[in-house]
Amino acid sequence: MLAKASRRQFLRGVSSLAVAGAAPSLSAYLSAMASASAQTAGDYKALVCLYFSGGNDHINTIVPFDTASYNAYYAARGGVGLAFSQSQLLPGPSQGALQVAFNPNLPNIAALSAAKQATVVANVGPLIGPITKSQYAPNSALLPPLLASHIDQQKTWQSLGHANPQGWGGLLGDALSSGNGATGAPFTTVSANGETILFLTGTETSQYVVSGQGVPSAFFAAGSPFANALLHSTMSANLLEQAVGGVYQDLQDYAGELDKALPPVKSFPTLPANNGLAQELLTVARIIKIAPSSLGARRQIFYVNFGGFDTHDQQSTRHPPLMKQLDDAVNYFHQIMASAGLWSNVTLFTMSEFGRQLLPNNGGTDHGWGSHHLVMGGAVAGGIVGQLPTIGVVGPNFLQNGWMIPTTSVEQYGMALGSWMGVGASDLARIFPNVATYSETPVKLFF
Amino acid sequence: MRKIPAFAAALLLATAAKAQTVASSPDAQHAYRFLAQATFGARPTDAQHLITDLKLNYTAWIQEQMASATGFSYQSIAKGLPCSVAASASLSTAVGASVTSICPSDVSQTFWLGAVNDASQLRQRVAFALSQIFVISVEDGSLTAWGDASAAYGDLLYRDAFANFRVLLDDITHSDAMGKFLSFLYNVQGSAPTSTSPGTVPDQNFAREVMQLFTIGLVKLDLSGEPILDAKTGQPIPTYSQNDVIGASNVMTGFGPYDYPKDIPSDFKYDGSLYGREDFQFKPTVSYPQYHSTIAKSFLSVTIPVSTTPNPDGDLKLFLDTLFNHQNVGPFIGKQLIQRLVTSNPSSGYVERIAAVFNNNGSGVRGDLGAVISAILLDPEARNDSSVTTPTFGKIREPILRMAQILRLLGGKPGADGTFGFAPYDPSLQLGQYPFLAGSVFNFYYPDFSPPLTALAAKGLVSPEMQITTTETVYRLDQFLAPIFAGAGWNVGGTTPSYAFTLDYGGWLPLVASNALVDQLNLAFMSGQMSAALQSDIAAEVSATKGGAQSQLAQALRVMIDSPEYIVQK
Repeated sequence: MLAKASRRQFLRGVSSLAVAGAAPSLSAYLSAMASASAQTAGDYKALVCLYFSGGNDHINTIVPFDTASYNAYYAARGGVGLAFSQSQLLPGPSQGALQVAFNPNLPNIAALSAAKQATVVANVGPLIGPITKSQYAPNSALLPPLLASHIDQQKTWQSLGHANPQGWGGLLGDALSSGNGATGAPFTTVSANGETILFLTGTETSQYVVSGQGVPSAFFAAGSPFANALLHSTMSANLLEQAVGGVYQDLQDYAGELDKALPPVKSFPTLPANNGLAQELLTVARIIKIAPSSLGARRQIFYVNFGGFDTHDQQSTRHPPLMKQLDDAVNYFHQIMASAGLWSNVTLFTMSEFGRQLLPNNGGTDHGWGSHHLVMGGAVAGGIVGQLPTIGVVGPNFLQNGWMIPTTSVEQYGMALGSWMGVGASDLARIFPNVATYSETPVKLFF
Repeated sequence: MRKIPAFAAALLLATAAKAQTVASSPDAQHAYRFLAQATFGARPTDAQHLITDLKLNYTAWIQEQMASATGFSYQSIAKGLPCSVAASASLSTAVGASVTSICPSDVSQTFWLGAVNDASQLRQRVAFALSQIFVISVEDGSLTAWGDASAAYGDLLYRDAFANFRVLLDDITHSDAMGKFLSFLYNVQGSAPTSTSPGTVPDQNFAREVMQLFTIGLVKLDLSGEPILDAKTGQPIPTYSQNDVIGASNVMTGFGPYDYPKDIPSDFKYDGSLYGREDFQFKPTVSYPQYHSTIAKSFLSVTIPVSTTPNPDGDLKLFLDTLFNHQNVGPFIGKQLIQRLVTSNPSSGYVERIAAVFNNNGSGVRGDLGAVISAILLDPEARNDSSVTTPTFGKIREPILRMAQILRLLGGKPGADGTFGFAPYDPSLQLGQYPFLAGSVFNFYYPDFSPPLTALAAKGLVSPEMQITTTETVYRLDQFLAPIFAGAGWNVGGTTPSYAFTLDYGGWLPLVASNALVDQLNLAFMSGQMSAALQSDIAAEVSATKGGAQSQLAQALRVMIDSPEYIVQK
């Protein structure tokens, strides 16, 4: 069982240990990859990445609310339905003279913020280093490549570069998996949206893939001809067959452990209707509830996906329902975690490939750059971190086209989250190599 | 007597074809292998036609297919399909009580009727490949109330499958569905902020994606599809910048639905009063010069100067001509078509040969898609036997391809409502993948996806379909298919059997008793490529399965269809 539990790590370990002629034993391998992470027995922490696909309109999610900022926002957004009236908004935290409010469809998230269990992280985005408006020029070396392209900025947010093969969630997982023991290690990183995710791709740790429908089972009996038919391709000469065979190998090796331990859906509150995000979060919650006890896992990183945010048109009818679903799903997850006494062990944080332009088009908004984000859980400090911008395209924080110039890098954001997970300083410095460029490293998200 | 429409007649003919088998032979294996790349699955009659009538002359088969006209039509078929309860509920919320339009989900349903029964198989397979490059998603919020437009889009891809790329590009750019999905309809010139009103910018959605996804891609490519590197920095060279997107977004202003002003005289914007109206959704969108930007527009080293007379059609023609003539289009589009039909990792020589045909079909014509498709299927890399055993060759049959082959080869017949039942209200159930229903314009998966921690990734190779081939999806698909195989159809009726589709095992059941089953599965589904190990695994499962020939056949199908050897089309 031990050998199976770390099959993929083991495969990678063979090469990274460079043992000539013989494969290393599992214990030799595990000691070789012992990480610097400080984990104490009995503790458990999970990061849950909530990804908005399409580029969330951050400024209609976390809205400028002090009078000067609000007026500038309203003047810029103008178009009917794109700017909320000030009285509709749900007042949120302040930073000096600046204040934000939450979208009217986010009452539960506003309540979490009021209870200091949700932190607003202002104006985060991919950066090469600090950049000012006057330094901006298209295709400048100071700019991350291929800004405003969905695919490339998804990659940049998830892997800190548009051509990196690993994501920072996966690299954090590499540093954390040894603390999860043999049964927990295969579940160090978990995609809950059915697909293989760049964010969770590590150099050693393989992500396990589940979905809003639940978790997979090994549907073939070990050792049966059926199993052989699926698994002999792990040795196939054809590399695509090998890759598919590896998926079945994971099912055989790991699915049973997770499936048999998982609490049934009916032991949880009723899901909000037609809410795919809540479904994925339910699967995450089911795993979190049994991960420390049944799997021996102490650190886990999850990914859930929420799509539909590319609101180029009809934004006034398309974006508010997304906010409502977000609020319902977060509330659902919070209730489950709180009632299990795990809310302080879990941090839910948002990502999205870009924010949207301040200036609207005829009924919607186009791709931008920086965006506001939320970090939620019992461990966060609340309030606002990062710098709220001066609203308006003539000011220092926006380009003429309405892109918000990020003042906090994705690396600072990621490092704060990795630090909370207990990943050691040297690993953090390796995973977030450019973070030293910034004065505040990492940003302070937690108590 | 009621006249039977041409397509329905063809369908009857196909259904009436006798179940038979083709004896395995090198010729038969070659025929099946070719047809696996060019169709949704070869029935015995299809293979026999290629082997016997055409003497394995692939060129003749391609010509025959390109000339074939079956009368298949998304618009006419989808119109005849009933909205299921879930679809009509969501539709009537959007459009009011009386709905006569096509349901968006019925566009996806119509795909299956064509893939399974249309005799123009090459056209269907290529149109499916095009639908994964020129993506619309019929259940996207922009299209949920506009099924007619989506049906017209399905017909557009089917019609233009072998047309000139410039025609295809023009038709897509004038389609009501794409205009809604990538939101360039009602797009207007931007305005600078003033003391009384905020500034606006034109919508950049289509302007960006037509460059990034439909024509030239992000970085400059050589003929073999490899990025050209900057001599100084060693980095790939971007094909365009944000300024080009802005320039192009100004070109894409002033286009609206056909016949628009008669209905809505005043403001130029999305209007729900057009719901339920069919006519304009079928027709090419047209320009409304008064809403077209007259500022200077720069894109891809072309500049249209400030003009006093708005010229939307002229500006658009210049933009699309510029894209069409860009050196990237041949390798960029050619490689993706190879990936959809033949192999995920074509050699640079293969891409280069196809790009060269795109650039010149031999008669001096650029963009001849028929010639490109023909070259892809006839290329030595696609046809040589040695490719089958090349470790990097092949592509994963995504769930849609697997399901379509199952339905074609096992006599799949639609249920009482005339559909195969793949109502995509919850794509995470059932197949996990639905035609015309990708999550976004970026399709079901990315062309450069490489499965992490595999030998494939270590070699820098890709398998786009692996992005959706995971512990989760292989499990869900097995659980969906196993009861279908066992029950010879998809019984959705609970206690009272009610079939979304049925399978006809008539020709297959006798093979179970005669021990010819594995041989025939191998030939028909896997072009004779099944390893001895898999053959013996399936045979062992068959003999260990109780409950008679149907149960044994079902288990054989389940094991084969799940197997990595089958999943990789080689």
